[in-house]
Formats: sequence, structure tokens, C-alpha cells
Amino acid sequence: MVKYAMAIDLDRCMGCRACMEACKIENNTGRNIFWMFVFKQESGEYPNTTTNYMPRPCMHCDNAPCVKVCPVGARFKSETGAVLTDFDRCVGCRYCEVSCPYGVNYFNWREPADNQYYHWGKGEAEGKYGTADIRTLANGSISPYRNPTLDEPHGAEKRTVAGGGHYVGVIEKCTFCVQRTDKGLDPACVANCPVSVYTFGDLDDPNSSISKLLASRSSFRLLEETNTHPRVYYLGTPMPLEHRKHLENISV
Amino acid sequence: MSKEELGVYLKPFNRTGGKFLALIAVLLGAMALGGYALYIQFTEGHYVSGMRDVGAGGAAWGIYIGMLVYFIGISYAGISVSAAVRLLNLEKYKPVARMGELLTIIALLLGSLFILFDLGQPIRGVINMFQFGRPMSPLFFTFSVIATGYLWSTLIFMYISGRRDASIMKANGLGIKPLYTVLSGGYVDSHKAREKHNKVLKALAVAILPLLVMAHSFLGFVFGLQVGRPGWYTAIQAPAFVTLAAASGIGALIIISLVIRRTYGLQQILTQDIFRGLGNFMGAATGVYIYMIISEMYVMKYAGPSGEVLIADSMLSGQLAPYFWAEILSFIAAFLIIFAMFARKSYSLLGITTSAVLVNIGALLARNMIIIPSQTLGMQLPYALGSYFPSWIEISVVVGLFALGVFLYSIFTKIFPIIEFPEEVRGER
Amino acid sequence: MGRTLALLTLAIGLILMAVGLMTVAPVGETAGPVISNPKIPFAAGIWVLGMMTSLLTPVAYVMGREK
Repeated sequence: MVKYAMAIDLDRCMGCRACMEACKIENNTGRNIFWMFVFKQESGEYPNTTTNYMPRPCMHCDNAPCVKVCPVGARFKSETGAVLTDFDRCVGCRYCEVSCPYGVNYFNWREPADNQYYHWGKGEAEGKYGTADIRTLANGSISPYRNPTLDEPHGAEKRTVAGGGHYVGVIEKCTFCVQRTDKGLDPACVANCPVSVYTFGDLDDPNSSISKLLASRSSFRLLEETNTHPRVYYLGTPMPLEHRKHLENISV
Repeated sequence: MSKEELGVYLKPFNRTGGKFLALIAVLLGAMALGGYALYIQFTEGHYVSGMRDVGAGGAAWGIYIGMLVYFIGISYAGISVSAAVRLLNLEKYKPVARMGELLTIIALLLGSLFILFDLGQPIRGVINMFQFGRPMSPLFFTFSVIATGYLWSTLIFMYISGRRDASIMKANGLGIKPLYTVLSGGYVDSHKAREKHNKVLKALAVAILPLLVMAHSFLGFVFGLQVGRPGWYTAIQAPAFVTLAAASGIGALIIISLVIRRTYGLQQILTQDIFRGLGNFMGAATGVYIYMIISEMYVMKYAGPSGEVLIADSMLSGQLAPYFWAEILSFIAAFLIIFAMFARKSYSLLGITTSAVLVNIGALLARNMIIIPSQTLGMQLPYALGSYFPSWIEISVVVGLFALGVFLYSIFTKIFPIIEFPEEVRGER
Repeated sequence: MGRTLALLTLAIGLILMAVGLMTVAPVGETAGPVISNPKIPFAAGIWVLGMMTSLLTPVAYVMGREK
């Protein structure tokens, strides 16, 4: 059985955020929802400053706090090692969100169609929250696009786990692109990184590229003291924690 | 037994004046506001609340969860007082026993409604909890022990202790007849029947006491088990929840029984003696809770990891300091008032009421101060610090549900004796 | 009569509680898909129903007619 894991080489990352963009396009996530997020922070004192980047997908923990606390089993650990959300079962209690030390969960606070970058909606020129309706803007030449494979069931249990923007009032987060890994493809962020920050593969197979990489270089995982056993490994220099300043953040 | 013998116990049924109707009208108005806010919330999604994603500058659990914890805490009062009456034979507190039971039921009901309105998919929530419930989640026991075990056993407790009163009411032809017929169902007041009921209630009280501790502890564990949230992850969480539940619950019971005493003129039955005992208990629980806050804060500030220190700093001297100090000062003031009265051996109702109100204000703040800062400030990865303030929708829902609680309570006092008839009121054979 | 009825209620309640608790999703496992599903649907509901039934014991006892 394959057990997927991801390695992220921090020394290679240059902060282009192609991974964030690829994730959004692949999974159709809405505004303020970043399944993949790249921290950007400045450290040191002027003039000796450096800018560091750190990508943060879901850690797909083996001892996941979110899986433990889900009262209905909507959040579960799949046979491939990914932590997935059953969008048809989630009740929207957000317990997974508050239990996660990494902050990777995002709630659908409003109707997913209303929350897209352009309103996908009901033919109004301006959406309810100030965004223009994409159809009006494009004179009907562009129609809202949704990746059809996201609504297909996946895994042994055939559950709706792929992609974002299914219902209002449910939680969503990174799935290791289950719709792509099922076909043997790498996740969108991995496939789109121009400088090969990411290595993705089967950690149970000793000959896979990720097994070899992790055997040859020292790695660390985030917040290991919380005993979550993440499946995302970081290589290279950790982000400095002293004298730091955030440059960009997710804001509402 | 006659109406004359019941006399003072029937006072609530005598007066249904303009003031009462005005109160009901105000409450209905507040409930309508809450209903309107809920309608908006469920058509537009929780976007209209002040809650936002953790890590995106907000708190995913807001005032709804704070109020839920507060109301479940309030529910402590009722059944603990009734159980004390039954188990320790503290007959003195019998007049407030039913008020407490009713308070428990209504508080648990409001708490459950807050969970429901907090869910993104409430209808799914009700079904899936039963269909897929997993005991590994602390929420499983919170929902099964509190919403069914605790609420259900309190209802049964109240039903059994109320059968005799219902039969007496029915025999006197008072109030709503069909209701009393159903409630008294087959009860014949005799010495034997009364003894049987007392025995059963005693056994049930023994069964409920562990449920009481479990219910409040599990609510604490919902927060205390989360290693990812600095400030929540502490072993003192469950005992602290039980302690604050005791203080705020008894406080709420004091306020309610004083209001009933004054409105219906029941000074004869609800003596100052009762309030002295309740006040002492509340004061002691408050004192223990102050001690718990201090030890918790000391650990967070002195030895805590960076997340804990950040939260402690923010509470002690930062952005959250006004709320935190308001909470602490109201607890300390409440404790000192009770302690001063205890030391001087002279109690005044005004003093007890003041401190009961202060304890409840403190508890409201404390519940929200446990829940919110750990989310907005407690991220361990380099996210920006967040903030949370409830939107008008959330505040309206809270006001509406508060009104619903008061409404149910007021209506109940008009349809069922709020004070248990004493043993001396003999039933005719 | 009252006693028999009460014991019967208690027995049914406890059995339902046991059945419910034995068939809910397992505790302790955090890896693998087995953790998310109960062995029979509505296992949690059966547990809750069992708890409610066993708490009805005193009602059954007092409702049972005296000889």
C-alpha cells in the first residue's frame, strides 16, 4: 500500500507562490482559503536582513488532532496516508479547525459560488459582497469553470473528498490532491513548482525519490513536540524565529 | 388539604398582571430579533458572524461556544441543590429545589441550541451525530452525556418530584387540568407513595451526581485536550470548569429565586437562611476559582512556551487586559462581599445579590476569555495575530436565546408550582 | 409489578448502551480508514437510546401499580 509523504526543501524556495496558485486552480478554492500557503517573513536588523519563505500545506499527520476530535468521522485518515474530509458528512462544528496546531483548515463561511474571486452567481452585476459577476464582466464569453473530477467519489469507501467549494458550512483543507494522486500524478503544487522545492512520493517504497532524499539529508517536521507525526518533511534551513517580521498574511 | 392550606404556595397563580404581560411582550420581541438574525445567518452562511478562520486573523469558535459553555455551567445549580436536598437531607433548601431543576433544564436546552446554531450544517449535525458519532471525540460525550443523559435525567427527576404537586393541583381544580392529569398519572397521595418517591429520588440523585461531574468535566476536556492551542492545553481545565460551573450556577439560582421571591411575595417561604447557605457555597467556589486562575496564569507567564506567554501577556497587560481584569475584579469583589458578610456573621440580601450578579458577569467574561484568545493569538506557526469581536447577528442570537430562557421560565412559574408543596400539606385519602 | 418493570427497563437500557458502545467507531486508532465508521449505523444513537432507557428505570418503578 502506498503511503504518501511530501518533502519541502526550504533552501530552494524563492517565494514565487506558483504552488498556491496551482492549488487554487486545481481545487477551485475560494477567497481567503489557502490550502497551500507560503509564509513570507523578514528577519534580522537593517541593513542585514534576509527574507525567508516557508510553504505550508496540510501536514497529513499520522496522529492527527483533527481526526481525533471529529465527532462524526468526516475527517479521516485514508489508506494512502492523506488526511481527508468527507464533505457529505461534515457537520461544520469547526472542532478540527481549532484543534489543528498548523492552522490549515478553512471553513466555507458562505456559499462557495459567492466566495469565488469573481461572483459565479445569479446574474447580478455586483455580487452580494462587492465582487462583480464574471458572466456580466465577460459579456458571457467566459463561464464559471469547475473541475468536474472534484465531485467524483474517491478511495476505497467512495467518499466525496476531493477539491474545495462543495457546500456552505463545511470545513475543507489540502487533500494531497487526491483526484490527481489516484491517477498517479503528483499534487498540483508539486507539479507546478518551477524550482523543484517539493518531492512527493511513497514513503513505504525504499526506492522512491522521497525515501532516498530523506535518507540522504537531514530533515525536520513542524511542531514535532505536539506528537502529531506529520507526513510533510522539511529540508534545509528552518525559518528564523527571532527578530522576525511578517511581510504578508492571510487577511479577511 | 384545601386551597387555604396551600395558601402562599399558590401565589404565583393569583397574579397575572400587566407587568407580566409586558415582560412577555418584551421577551417575544427579543426572540423575534434573534429569530431574524438566525434567518440571516442560515441563508447567508456564518459569514455574517464575526468568526473567521484560525490563522486568517480570526476565531473559528466565538461567542456561541462561549455562551454554550456558560449555560452548561449554569445548569450545575439545579441538580446539585436537589441532590443535596435528597442525599444530605438538607430540607432547608427544598423550596429552591424545583427552581434549580427548572434552571438546569432550561440552561441545558439553551446550551444545546447554541451548539446547533454554531454548526455550519445544523440539520446534518443532528442526524450525523447519532449515525456516525465517534467516542474518540470529546464532543461525543459532551453531546451524549449533557444533551441526553444530564438533560433527560433532570427531566425525570423533576417529573417524579412533581407528581405529588400535580395531583394536589388537580384535586383542587387549579390551573390546566389535562396537563396535571398527565403529569400526576396514577398518583395517589399516601404516606406509602410519598416514601416510595423519596426513595426513588434518592437513588436517582446518586446516579445523577457522577453525571453532573462528568458533564462539566467533559466540557472542560473539549478544550483541555487540545495540544495545538496554547492556553487550552492544561490539566486544570476540567476541574476549573466544574468549579466555575458551581459558582455561576448557584449565582444564577440566587438571582432567579430572589426575583421570584420579590415578584410573587414569597418572603415567608424563601427565607434569608436559604440565601445565606447558597451565598456561602457560591463564595467558596468563587474563591477556589480565583485560586485556579492565579495558578494557571502563573504557569503560563513563568514557565509557558512562547504561545502561552503571548496569551498571558495579552491578558495581563495587553489588548485583552480590560476584559481579563474586569473578570478578575468581579470575582474578587464577589468573593470579598461574601467573605465580609461571613466574617461579620450578618448577611444582607443586597450583598448576596450583588455578588451573585458579579460572579455571573465574571463567568460570562471568563468563558469567552478561555475560548477566544487561544485561537486569535495562539498560532504556533508565524501567522499574524488575529482578533475577534461578535457581529450584531451573533449578539442578537445571544439576546434572543437569553429571552427564550427567561420566557420559558416565566411561563413555567404560571403553569406549575415553582415551589414544592411541603410534606405538611397532607393529601386526602 | 413496579419492581419487575423497573428491572426490565434497566436491563434493556444497559443492553442497548453496551451494544451501542461496542459498535461505535474504535477508540485509539488514528491511522487508517477504519477509524471513521461505526460498525453498525446509528451506533451512537443506540448508545444514547440505551442511556435514556436506563434512566427511565425510576419512572417505571413509581408508575408500577401497588398491590
